[in-house]
This record gives sequence, C-alpha cells and structure tokens, in this order.
Amino acid sequence: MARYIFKRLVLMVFLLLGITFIVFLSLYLAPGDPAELVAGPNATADDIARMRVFLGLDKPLFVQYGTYLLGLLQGDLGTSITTRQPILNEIAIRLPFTINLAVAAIILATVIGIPIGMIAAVKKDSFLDQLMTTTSLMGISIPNFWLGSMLILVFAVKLGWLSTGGMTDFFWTPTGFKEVILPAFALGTSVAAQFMRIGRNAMIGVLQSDYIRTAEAKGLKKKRIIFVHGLRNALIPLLTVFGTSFGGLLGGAIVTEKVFVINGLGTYLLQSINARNYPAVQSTVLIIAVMFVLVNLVVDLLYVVVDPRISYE
Amino acid sequence: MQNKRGFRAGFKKLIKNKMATLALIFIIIIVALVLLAPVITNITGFDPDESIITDRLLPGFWDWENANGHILGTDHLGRDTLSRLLYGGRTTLIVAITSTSIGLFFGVTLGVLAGYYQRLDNLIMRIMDILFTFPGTLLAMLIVSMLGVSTFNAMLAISIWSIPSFARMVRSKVLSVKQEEYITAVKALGANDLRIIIAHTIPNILGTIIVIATMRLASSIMSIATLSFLGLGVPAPAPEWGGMIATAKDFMWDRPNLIIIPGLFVMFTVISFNLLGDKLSDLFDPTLKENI
Repeated sequence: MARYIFKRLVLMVFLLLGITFIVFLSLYLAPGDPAELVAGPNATADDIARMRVFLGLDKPLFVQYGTYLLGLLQGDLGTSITTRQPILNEIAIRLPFTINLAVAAIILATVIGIPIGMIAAVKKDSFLDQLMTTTSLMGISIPNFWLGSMLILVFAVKLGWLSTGGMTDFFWTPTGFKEVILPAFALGTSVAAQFMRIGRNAMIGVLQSDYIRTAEAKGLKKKRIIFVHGLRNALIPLLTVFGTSFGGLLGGAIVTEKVFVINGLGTYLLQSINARNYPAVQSTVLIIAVMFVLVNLVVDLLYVVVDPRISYE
Repeated sequence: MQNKRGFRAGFKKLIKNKMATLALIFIIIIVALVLLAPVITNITGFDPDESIITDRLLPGFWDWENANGHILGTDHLGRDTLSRLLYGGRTTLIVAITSTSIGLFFGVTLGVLAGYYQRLDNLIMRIMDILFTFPGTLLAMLIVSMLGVSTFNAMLAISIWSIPSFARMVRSKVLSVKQEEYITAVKALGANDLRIIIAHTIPNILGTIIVIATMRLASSIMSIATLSFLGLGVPAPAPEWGGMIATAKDFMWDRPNLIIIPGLFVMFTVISFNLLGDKLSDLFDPTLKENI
C-alpha cells in the first residue's frame, strides 16, 4: 500500500510538471513575440524590450521554464495584462463560484444518476431499464449550453420560477440554492447519465457474482442483498468515474458559467481569451488542470481504502 | 476472407437492431441534407449569408402566412434558418470528420508504437496522460486561445484533443494481440515488424478503432459546437450549429425556434453517433464500453 501511494505521488508530480510545461509552452504558439503579447497592445518598442528582459525571454527556454516553475511554487501566477493585478487574487475571488457550481452539479448527478442506475440494473432488460438506458444516452448527448438555455427559457422566462442567471451565494443557503439549481442541472445531466450507465453495468456485474448467489441461498431478503451486499461493491467503479467526471464538470462549467452569467473561473477564462490576456489564460487553464489532477489523486487513494485488492499495475 | 465475412455478419446484426438502424438512417439523412445544401437552398431561394432586412425574425412553417417562404423562419439579421442549418451542418460535420481522422491517424500510430515497442511505451503513454489531464475541451480552448480563432485552428485543437483516446485504447488492444500465437507464428516465419503491424495487428484491432472513431465523432461534433458557442470555433458570420445557438440566445424570448432547432440537430446527430458506437461495440468489442 505504501508503495502504491508513493508511486501514485510520483506520477502526480510528473503530471504536474507536464501540465506546467504545456501551459508554459502554449504562449509560444501565439503568433508574434510573447514579450509583445504580454506587454499589451499599447506598448512602445522600449516597453517591449524591457518586458523581454523582465520576463527573462532573453534567456534559454529551460531557464525560463525553471523561473516560471519557481514562481508558481511561490504562488506567483503572473500579472493580469488588463488590470495589472496579481492573477492569483483575481482567480481566488472567482474560484469559489466555480467550485460551488461543480459541487452542486456532482451532488445532483449522484442523487439522480446512481439510484436510477441501480433500479435499471435490478430490473435488467425490462421496459423501465430500456427507458432509463435510452434517457441516459440522451443525457450524454445533449449539449449542456443548449440544455442550460432551454432551462432558462422554460423555468425563468415562461414560468418565472427562477432567475435567468447570476450567482451571489453558496448552494446551501436559500438564495444560493435557487440560483444554483438550473446551472447545476444543466451541468450535471451528462454526469448523472454517466453515473447511471456505469452504476448499472457495475451492479449487473455484482448481482451475477458468487457471493450474491450465496446470500440468496442463505435466504436473505432481496432488499438486504441489493443494498448491503450489492451496492457497496457496485460503488467501487463509480468512484473512478467520479474522478474523471469531476474533470468534465470543470470543463463544462466554463460553458455553463457563460450561459448563466456566473462570475467564476470559466467566465474569467473567456474574458481573458477575448482580451488576449495570455498570462491569465495560462494560469486559469493551469488551475483547472491541477484541480483535476488533485481530485483524481484523492479518488485513486480512496480506491485503495475501499477496495484493498487493488494494487498499482 | 474470414474477417470480411465477420464484418458482413456484423452489419446484418446491426441492421437487425432497431435503435442502431434508426441512428444509421438519421445519420444518412443528415449527411444527405448537408451534402445537398446547395441544391436545397437553390429550391428555397435563400442564401445562408444573405440578410433580407424586411424578413427579420420571421416564424417558420408553423405560421406559414407570416413566414414569407422561410420554412424554418429567419434570424435577427433576416437570414434563412434552414439554409444556415444546412450549411452550418456542413461545417460541423467537416470539422468533426477531419479532426477525428487526424486524431485517428496519430492516435493509432502512437498507440501501435507504444503497444508494440516496449521502449517507446512509457514515453508515449506518459505524454498521453498529460494531455488527458486537461478536462473536456480545456486543451482545445488553450490551443485556440493562443493560435487565434479560426475554423482551421479549432479543427487542429480538436484533432490534438482526440489523439490520446485513440492511443490509449489501441495500445491496450495491441498489447493483447501481441501475445497471440499467430503473431508468434508470423514472427517465426520471418515477417518484419512493419508487416506484422500492418498485415496482422491492425486488421485485428480494426473493430475497436471503428467503435472509438464513431464515438469520437460524437464528441468532436459536441466540441466544435461548444467552441463555436463560446466564440472560439467557427468565426461569425459563417453558419455553425453551436454559433447559431449562441446568437439565438439573445432572441429566444421572441423566437424560441431559433435556439430550439439547431440544438435538436446537435443533440440528435450526437445521439445517433453515440448509439451507433454503442451498438458497434456490442458487435466488435463488448469490453470497450466500460472504458469509453
């Protein structure tokens, strides 16, 4: 187990280095001189020359990368071109909204997806199962920005029950709950559908296993077999999907935030892209990718706790 | 020969499956519609980019008296929705098919190399792992934001984003095929690596590749629509389904059809490819489902 954890941590450090390297290099994809880009559109030739020295662009690539990493380790995400504020502060203000949305969406997906998946598995091949499987396919295939707009159209405009957008509070407060319900639904639908699919397949596998047959032979009640013996084992594959779909949620949040006018990381990223605020784009992408890696690390470590049979490769 | 018969039998089974047949028919209809876009717009007489100022925000066939000949109505600039949908579908499908093909080519090549040559395995797969850590369309967004917004750049970004999925699945298939006795046999007969890979390995993982490609097509359609919705895909005024949804958002109070119709097109096209991929995986490789 210690060996597995060690290997997993080494992998994480490697992944983080890879992510930072790609994000670092991405600036060189941009047409033109990075110093010119960072200095902004109104910079003079003198400004650009100073910016080049300031950014260390006159040094070799790997020295630049090293300096960039060193800065990151000290919490320096660079300075925003548009506001001249530290990007770390700008991200810190917006991050809670994105996390609020993602967490609300994953809770919703869990509450909807897993029970439906379990029911479909228990009633395998019935009409109900087929209906649910088809619905889940729709859930995966529906564009979340379109679903969001449709929800606004129906629940905010036609029925007038909820607001069309904005986010001012966290989901556990009454205002926050009303604000988050539509975006969380738009964002969480595809994840709910994935939970349903994976949960269904896992449960079907579990229900065919020997220990379930033993439990049946012992004369245990069906409810007890499903909830005590089945569910616990079916949750193991769901844990992995939980990690990967959290990433999908962070990616999807960018779009959902635009639809529902939420001032989170996604909106910041889009604003930065439009303003050609390259350092802010880099740092936002970096933060989202790092969050994804960390969530997956936690999931992988939990996996060992939940299923002791697992070992690294 | 054996393989060919296998495919024909598989195709027959596919036709027998009602949902898969429906999906296939829908895909054929969509492809036919977008291919015939110039012919259809010729009949209706509306160019996708032509704005008729007097025809702004018109309803469609459901209110034919006021539609002024526009079957699916017009947008805020007086452009014909049907024409834009058809031409938009062209762009969406061309981008999706091209980027999936590029992703397939590089992904399969890298996957085969990683699976076949132990020495390259670690290097290639760790790079794929890194690419996988950018969730959803984030990697595509990063690439487009740096290169600048254009259809070509969006296509390039989606291609790069597709590579790891192909590489990962192909690698694991190659690893298991490599263990088969017939590979050992051809090796003993003196076949070189290239021949083993092209003549004996690829044909045996072709089913897997087809399944992943079908599902990746669905994801690519979704991605180009998403990127265009965010203003990072096909630049306006060129029509594209995601972009149409973005502009329609401002007018959906008065003309909900403007946003509903392109959304339905995206959804049903994506569903069809997913459904087809799902059924194909039942035929070719049932173990795949868990991993996609």
